[in-house]
Amino acid sequence: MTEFAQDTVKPNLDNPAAPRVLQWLPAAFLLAVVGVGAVLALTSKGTRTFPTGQDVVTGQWMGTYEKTNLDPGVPWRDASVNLWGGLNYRLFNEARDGAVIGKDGWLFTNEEFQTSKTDAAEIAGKVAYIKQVRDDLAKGGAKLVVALIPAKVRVYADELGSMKVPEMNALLYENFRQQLVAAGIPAPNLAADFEAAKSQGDLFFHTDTHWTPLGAQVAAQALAPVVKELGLDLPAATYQASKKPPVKRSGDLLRYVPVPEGEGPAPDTVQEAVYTRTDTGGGGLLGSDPLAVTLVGTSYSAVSKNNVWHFDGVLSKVLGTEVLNAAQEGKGPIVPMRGYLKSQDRKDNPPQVVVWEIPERFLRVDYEVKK
Amino acid sequence: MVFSSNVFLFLFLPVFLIIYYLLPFKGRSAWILIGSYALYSWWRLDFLWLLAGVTLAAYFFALAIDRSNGPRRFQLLTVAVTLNLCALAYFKYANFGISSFNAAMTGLGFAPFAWAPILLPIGLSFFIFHAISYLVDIYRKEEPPTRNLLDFAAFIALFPHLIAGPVLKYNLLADQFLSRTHTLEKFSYGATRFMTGFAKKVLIADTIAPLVTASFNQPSPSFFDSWLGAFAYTLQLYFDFSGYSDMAIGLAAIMGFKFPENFNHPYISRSITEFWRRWHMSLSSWLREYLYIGLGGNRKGRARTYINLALTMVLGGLWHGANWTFILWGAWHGGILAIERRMKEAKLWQPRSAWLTIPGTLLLVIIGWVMFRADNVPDAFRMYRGMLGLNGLGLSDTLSWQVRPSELVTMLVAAVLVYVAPVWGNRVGDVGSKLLRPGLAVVATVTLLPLFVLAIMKLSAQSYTPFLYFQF
Repeated sequence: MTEFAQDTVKPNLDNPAAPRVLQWLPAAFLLAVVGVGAVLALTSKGTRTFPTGQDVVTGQWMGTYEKTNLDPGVPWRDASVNLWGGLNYRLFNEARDGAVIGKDGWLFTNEEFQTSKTDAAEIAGKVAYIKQVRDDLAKGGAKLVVALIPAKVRVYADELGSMKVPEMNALLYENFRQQLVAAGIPAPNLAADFEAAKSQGDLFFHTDTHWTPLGAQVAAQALAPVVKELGLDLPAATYQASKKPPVKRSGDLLRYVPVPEGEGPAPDTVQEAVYTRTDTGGGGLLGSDPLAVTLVGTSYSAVSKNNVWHFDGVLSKVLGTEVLNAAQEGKGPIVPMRGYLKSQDRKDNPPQVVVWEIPERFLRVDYEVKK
Repeated sequence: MVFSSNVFLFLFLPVFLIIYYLLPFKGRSAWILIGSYALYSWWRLDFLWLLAGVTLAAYFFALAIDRSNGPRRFQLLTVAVTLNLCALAYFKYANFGISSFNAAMTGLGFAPFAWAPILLPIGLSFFIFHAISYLVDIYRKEEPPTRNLLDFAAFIALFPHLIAGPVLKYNLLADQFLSRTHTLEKFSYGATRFMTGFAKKVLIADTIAPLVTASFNQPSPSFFDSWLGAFAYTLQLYFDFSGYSDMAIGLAAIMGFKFPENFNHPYISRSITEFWRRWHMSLSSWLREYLYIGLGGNRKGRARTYINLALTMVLGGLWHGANWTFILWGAWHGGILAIERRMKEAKLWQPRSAWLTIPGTLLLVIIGWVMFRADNVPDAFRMYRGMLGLNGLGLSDTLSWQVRPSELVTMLVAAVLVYVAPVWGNRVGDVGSKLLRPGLAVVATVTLLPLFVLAIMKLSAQSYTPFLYFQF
């Protein structure tokens, strides 16, 4: 016999007050929530902005409207993110998906933990592409040097607390680097240099994915002798570094812990360095000297409002030559290199050497697919 | 458009309900049809013809069957059911058939057959099943055909059950299209069920979902990894699907309809036979009435009964999706059903303690769920190897960083709800039940209200999460 849902709703004789409450309260509540939500949603700009150029018949328009306009635009979106992020942090010491909380206020991006069944193929593909780039640059007479940045979890594994990095990643850095070296591509062991330099200060920010100015400096100092060993004739330039006053800096990973300042991990303090050319020359497009060194890479190198590590500046200083910075933020290491190889920058400033900065966490990820 | 979405909750539902309640009763079927077609078109407008076509075909074939006698009656039924099954086969199984064929051809060294994959229309299995049950009922003279095309089309498209069920027979709702009451009590009951289902889906199923994905993605799952993933999926699927059913029942009640229950504490079952009386009850009922009985049921001898049981479940598995995993899952359940029946007939089935039979049945169900959830058969067997401890015992380091305390706590809460709810009330979502003590019912309802708001906020904080049963 089919049992119907509402057959179970009967007046309760034991407590006449209870059914009366149940008879109106849920209805009133649902109507109030849906009604208020509808009014708030309709007042939001996202709800009243409609996609253009999308096909209605195949549902593209509707999908775009929902995901791009309505959902991100509802007025309670930020409050919801903060509420749930805050609850999970306070109750379970969890960050939102995207970050992992270590001990003593250290935060890590979860990209550095990820593994996949296709890792081996992905790594092989990246090695093959780097060799292609080397060959392409060689046709123009340029050398390639890879600055393989070790993962933050590799350098600061002891700050992870009870969390563990997958064991299969243990040899990833060195294996990948050895494959480059075997292919004749210089790639200094920055992981070893970082390990040795840890006592000098923080090489990565506690609350950010990126390295500190000190981390960038250690990497530049490790790269300089490798570039000089290539025996190139780099146009000379001298730089002076001056330091700004220390300031507090909230790292990008703090966005995954949406609690008021003081409740979550403490922001870092950073003393930004400014690199100023002190000789009379000036290369590139406006000067007479060519730019013989090009830096390609990710947000660890790119000029952006978040960049306080100035890898290009410290690299110019330690190399004693001006560096053309072709790095891009938020695109991984492959896309900026593809762009650079076809760019006007390359034609205008044929390099003698290209320093390609590649963070370890990108080695396994199909970054283009992910984007 | 899923029920747990901003567009449904804050744009579709208020507009639909305002106009629905402003209209006189005789205009409401038309509005249900318009609203349901609009909801379906939100996915893709170009597949609306299929829904309308299935509806029209079922309506006119039913009238023709009713007018016919003798062999022609059966011929018409055969044509009508075949047309429905052809639509189902083409859209749901053609890709699977061609890919299996191509795998065989390439294995023999022949070139594969060129084929552009076909898109599976959302909810197809459900509205095809609704149409078939209607046609068969008319053929069996269990009910007269309706002359009211509008009501029939509104039944087939009725949005609470259009996308993911429950699977309903027209005669369960036919009278309700002619006459139904709309009361504050019904509305409140519906609101309670809807909010309960919403909270079950968003707060429990969606919270556990990442852990399930991570566990099933392990290349070499350990004993702990695979059991954790299997338990997590067991809870996720139940709270996802029963949450959807609660929402469907609740929305129907808000519109004055009575839908049958779809779940009745399936995880306290003492046998697989009982499990299928408690899990997805509307589908079990459909399979029994239209497939098992159609195959001959238990009328053709003992051996044929076992075969029919197994075959019904295999076909039921295949209905869930065109994948060998679903076929094997169906075979697993069908095989156990046949064994249980044989044991009962041989008087080998002795009453056992609940402490033994409930975990025992749950174990069989969980083993089945692993196959049901896995992307393919080799992946499922990778999990089984893990469950047997063949890949080590402890939590893998590739999984450990992904296991969140909030997920484990949610799993614990979900497990408690699964086993405490049968003691408290008739159903997990039935907080207004007569079986609850009045004070507790009020407390449960008042607790539900902030949970609903919390669930809405969680929905906004997380990315899009479709219901698991939408794929079927």
